[in-house]
Amino acid sequence: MAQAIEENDPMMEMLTDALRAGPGSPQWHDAVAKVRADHPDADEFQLLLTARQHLESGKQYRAVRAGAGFSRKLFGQIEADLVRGSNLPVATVVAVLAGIVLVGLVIGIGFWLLPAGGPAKGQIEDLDRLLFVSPVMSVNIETPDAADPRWQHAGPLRLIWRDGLRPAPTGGATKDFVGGAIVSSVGLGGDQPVSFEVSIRQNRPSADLIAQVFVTDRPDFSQDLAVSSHELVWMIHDGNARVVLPGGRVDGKALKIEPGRQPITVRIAVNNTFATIDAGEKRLFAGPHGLSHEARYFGVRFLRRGNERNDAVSIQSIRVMKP
Amino acid sequence: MTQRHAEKPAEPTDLQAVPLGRASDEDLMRRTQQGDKQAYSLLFERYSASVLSYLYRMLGNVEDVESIGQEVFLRAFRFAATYRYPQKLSTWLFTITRNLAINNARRRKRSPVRNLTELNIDGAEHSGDPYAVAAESTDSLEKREEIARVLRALDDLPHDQKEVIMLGVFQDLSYAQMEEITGTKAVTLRSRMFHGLKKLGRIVGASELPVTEKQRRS
Repeated sequence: MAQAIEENDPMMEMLTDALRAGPGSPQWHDAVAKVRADHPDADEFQLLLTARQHLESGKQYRAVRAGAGFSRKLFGQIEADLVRGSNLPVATVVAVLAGIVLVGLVIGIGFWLLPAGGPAKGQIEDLDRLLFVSPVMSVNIETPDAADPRWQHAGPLRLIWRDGLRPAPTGGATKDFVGGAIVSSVGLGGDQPVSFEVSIRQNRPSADLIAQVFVTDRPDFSQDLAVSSHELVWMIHDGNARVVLPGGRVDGKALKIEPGRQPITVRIAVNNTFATIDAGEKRLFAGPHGLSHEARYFGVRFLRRGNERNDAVSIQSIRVMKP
Repeated sequence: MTQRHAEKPAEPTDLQAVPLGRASDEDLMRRTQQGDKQAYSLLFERYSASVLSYLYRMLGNVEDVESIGQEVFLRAFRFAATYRYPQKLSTWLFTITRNLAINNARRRKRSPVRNLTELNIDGAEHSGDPYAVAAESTDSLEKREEIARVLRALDDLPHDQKEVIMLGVFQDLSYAQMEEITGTKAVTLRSRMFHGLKKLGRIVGASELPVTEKQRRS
């Protein structure tokens, strides 16, 4: 772009609105007029608009539709669902209920006799099958509202919002790590499944900066590190991601995370007993999380030492989702 | 995706006696919540092409489109109760679609085995080729080549830039809707849209034409 524009530039907002709305829209006409008036020689603006026009012309690209077999199969399954859900004879209902009681007994006995792997696998699969589509709360990283009562700061390390969430520029070298966290001030019931999703960008590995995503059932944060006494943690340190269980045990091997401009999404899904932790579509943990059934709090934390600059790792988005 | 609301949706009210075909997507979903299968089949008619096309554009193989497409519409019916009126139905449905596509990508990494089954998707063989799509849009040979080049280049964009273009341009979703679907703030989505299109713009301005003679003749 001949005249570079900033991401929060009003021109950027106008252009991207126009680019989304497409040729023929009022936003498009306004933007074209503005580009022509302000940037008469900017060929790259013209190329940008041309690229958008070409996409408009190519909307049929990979356009597919459901064939007759697709619809038949889908509505066959829906019909089967409906039949299963209604018109059940009383005898069938009684038989099914009796069956459920029997199966429950067998599962109960099995749970006591079998090693933990059996039932856990099924529960984790259940957790995997859940779709977390409803936002419960999120942090607006780009335009944070310091007064948002749903999130609070903990620990001595100040965090700032600049191209994501990151530690403030260092005020002097420290030998030991100091921590700062943003934590939800409202706890969510431990009996409901929740997915905590955080988008993290690692520009470069750093031995002196640790970023953590955590779920805790005890929001009692220490004065120096902003660490609570009982939490499930995903962390990245020196380019390696690890999971730490409540009680401090590091689970499994470290996963190397390559630095880059593209953020990765860290997802901690928890139900009453089990958790899965994925980062960048790779699974790091699946098993009992060890948290209590009390209300749970969600947070992100940075730990920094030495003269570490604040450009190694940043957090791009934070949200808590429920099914 | 018809029946778009230019204005903010109304507050929940009792369902009005509107003919099904003229009911909004959101009202059809409320009827679905009450067990109206006919309302759901209308929603399926309105959304199946856009959901399946989105999946095909993002995933690139028809086998996955078929299985995930089935799963999307089956789950939307089974979990209709989780839809909250008057949320825009397209936002809710594309959140399900995107999540299932991401889950599928994760599973594929763990077990990259494809189940080849009889395909029940139409249109892929006719419209998958960028040059054929471009040929239907314009008579100008030069423009056809540019359009085909841009469409081809879409696949080489970083995933997040491609996604915002697919949702914002091809699916006509607003930044507010995309924000809700992806969990990414609008300002970031704007930046991704801008930089994605900028890359495509550079390709428009490039001199080489990666279109084969065979495609040109067709």
